[in-house]
Amino acid sequence: MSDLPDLAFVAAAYGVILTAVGVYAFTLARRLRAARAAAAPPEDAEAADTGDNQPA
Amino acid sequence: MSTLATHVSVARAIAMKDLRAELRGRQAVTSTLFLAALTLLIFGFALGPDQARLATAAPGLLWLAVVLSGVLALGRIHHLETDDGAFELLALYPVPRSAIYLGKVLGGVAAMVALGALVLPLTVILYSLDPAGSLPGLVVVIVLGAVGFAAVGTLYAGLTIRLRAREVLLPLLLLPVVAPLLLAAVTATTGLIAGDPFGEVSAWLQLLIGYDLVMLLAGGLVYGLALEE
Amino acid sequence: MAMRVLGVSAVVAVIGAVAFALFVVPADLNQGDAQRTMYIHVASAWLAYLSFGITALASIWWLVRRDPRADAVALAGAEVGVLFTAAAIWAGMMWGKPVWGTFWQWEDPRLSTTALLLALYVGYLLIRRLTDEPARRATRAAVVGIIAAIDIPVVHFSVIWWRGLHQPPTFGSPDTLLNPPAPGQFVAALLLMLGAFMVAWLWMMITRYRLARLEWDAEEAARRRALPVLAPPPVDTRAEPRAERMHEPMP
Repeated sequence: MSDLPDLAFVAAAYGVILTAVGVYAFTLARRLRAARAAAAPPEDAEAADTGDNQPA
Repeated sequence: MSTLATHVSVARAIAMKDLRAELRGRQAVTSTLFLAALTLLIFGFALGPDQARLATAAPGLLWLAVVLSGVLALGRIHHLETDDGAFELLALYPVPRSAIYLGKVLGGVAAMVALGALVLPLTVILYSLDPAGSLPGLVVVIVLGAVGFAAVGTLYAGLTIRLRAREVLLPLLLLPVVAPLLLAAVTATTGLIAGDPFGEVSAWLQLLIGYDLVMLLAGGLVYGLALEE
Repeated sequence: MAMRVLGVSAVVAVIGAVAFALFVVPADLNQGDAQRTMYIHVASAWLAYLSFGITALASIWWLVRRDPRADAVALAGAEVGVLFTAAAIWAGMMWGKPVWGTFWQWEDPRLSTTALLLALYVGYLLIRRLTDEPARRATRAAVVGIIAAIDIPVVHFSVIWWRGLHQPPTFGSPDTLLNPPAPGQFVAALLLMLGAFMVAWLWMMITRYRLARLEWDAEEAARRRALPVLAPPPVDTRAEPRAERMHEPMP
């Protein structure tokens, strides 16, 4: 492994980190959008209340 | 009754109760004694048979055995009591939470010292650890290590009692936090065995004392919060 | 919105900083191209510790005030912090192999400390995951966060003393950018990388915070719906004298 050129390690460092950060940021944005959609429409809360109060 | 006297009497009562329970067959700690000895033994299979290498590693092996079985022991001290429902009752008493904490820590220290007292002679036998004139110093290191470990371990054990994954979570939380304690204890032990050639053992003992005090203080302050359910 | 501007700025800044570090800045005389990894390593480590500090402070805030916002901040710091801690360790390893010949060594206190930081963060996130009730989860996590914060400086200094006992470090320090002070372009590349990643960090922290707030509110709402018997009884607005109620049959 020590005969790999230095740039391979540099590429591995930047590539993995930027990919991980990018994936995390992307999933964050998507989760936030989904959470907002779930929270926003007030009809959702009322619809869930009718007939939903069953014992756990 | 002054609050200090209350603290002390409550703590002592709790520690004595735990001791009595242990002697009457609770098996929280006594079972881990065997585990500590076994752990020490299998280190030999993993790292042997070179006697010199084992002798160099001996202080580390000693403390690894103590710490690994200590995690189990501290967990069991809390968990057995929780599963019996006794811990909830204890938490209901109108006594300061820090007094309960202190009592539990005392029990934990006793458990850890017991583990150390077993593991030390075993390490001497199995791994040619030569205590020579350093025995008093070694006892000090074991006690200091025990206090610090019990301080954090008791807090985290209390924190995790009601979690299903508590057997895994306790070591997972505890081991990173006690890493400096482990480092200091092993280095002090190694130094003492070698006759303290660099005169550094006292510095490591000071680190241990500082660690113990800080963790005891922190634990005493937040144990009540950790228990609140 | 402002967040969109922040997000786009982050992307642009990071691309620019990375391009500068990889293509513009010259290679180091001693370490060669491998030294380029240092820019992202130092930036990640810095943000990892910053996030950690924020989680610790937010934990104290929660314990004192029980404000759900505090818990949201703590969670954001921990999640984003884990990301940057792992990044710092990875970059450190990718730097170490070409420069040291080995992926890891124990004499540099910051490597050991950062690895332990990762372990502490993981424990923090795990105890959160295993607790259902929001307030209890926040309290448990806060305790872990504070103890971990106390621990980190202790670890750092004990490893430094530990190193002193053995032979002086034969391995070069990753901190060669600052000791001795490096030429202007190297420092510029580092600051640029740090600045760019800080913008990205800010975007992630704010986003994760907002998400945490929404998750908290949703959880609380779901709990209230699921346990109707524990909800407070509807307020009786009829002004009934107490004496009359004495004649009602006992429930």
